[in-house]
Amino acid sequence: MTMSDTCDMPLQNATPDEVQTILATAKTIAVVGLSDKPDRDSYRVAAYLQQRGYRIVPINPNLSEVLGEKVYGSLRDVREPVDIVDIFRKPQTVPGLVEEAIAIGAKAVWMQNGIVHNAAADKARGAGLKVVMSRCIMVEHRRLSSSVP
Amino acid sequence: MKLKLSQQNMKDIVELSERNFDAQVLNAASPVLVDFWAPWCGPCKMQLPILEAVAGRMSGQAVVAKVNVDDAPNLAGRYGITSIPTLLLFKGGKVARQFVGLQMESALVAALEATK
Repeated sequence: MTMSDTCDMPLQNATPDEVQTILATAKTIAVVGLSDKPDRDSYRVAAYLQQRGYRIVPINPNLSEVLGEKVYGSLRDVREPVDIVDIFRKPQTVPGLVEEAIAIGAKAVWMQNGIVHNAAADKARGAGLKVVMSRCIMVEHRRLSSSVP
Repeated sequence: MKLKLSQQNMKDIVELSERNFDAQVLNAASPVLVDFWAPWCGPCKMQLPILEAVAGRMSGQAVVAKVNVDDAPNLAGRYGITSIPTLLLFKGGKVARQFVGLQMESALVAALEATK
């Protein structure tokens, strides 16, 4: 396998106003690919979001509990409303996750830094979801923290 | 010594923003090679030391600059950047060459030499 020598850029991304609305209206955030290792970005971001009052739903087929929350093997296993699907997985996993996000009625798909999948983003937007690509949800929340929870 | 050289070359890469781009690039007297990059992009990180070497070799003849696309989405949009690293070579305020993906030092120096 050879490493690609380019990284995709988001061709269309949520506007700053949309990002603010996503964060201000969300209550539950499914964190896909959440690690149980405190030094990992996914753990730090999820812990931050939890401290800021969001309900975290961890998604990871290899774990049972993280940050005091039950871990689900996939988004389809979650039996409560999810507002944001926050993705910490490789770009090639995004299309399948978007399918699941649409299926469970999520309102937004959020891809963390460096994660971009324009075709999957189109599909999500077509189903009425908001899409943020290649942004850290913690960084954006901190930036907007005067106007969101 | 190696570190000192590296730090010296680092100074040769101009950091651009949406605020200073037009003044530094479009109104520049010499050719400007602009690297559109992001800190999360692996190939972009590999491109950076190559650009430092290019900047060192072309010092006084051309400007080497970089734009963090996360901080400057409007610039990325203006130039239709869809993947990074993308390098644009400007001469007289216009794009003379475009390179998409990781580029070798020799290719970039040759392009700058040809644009002088």
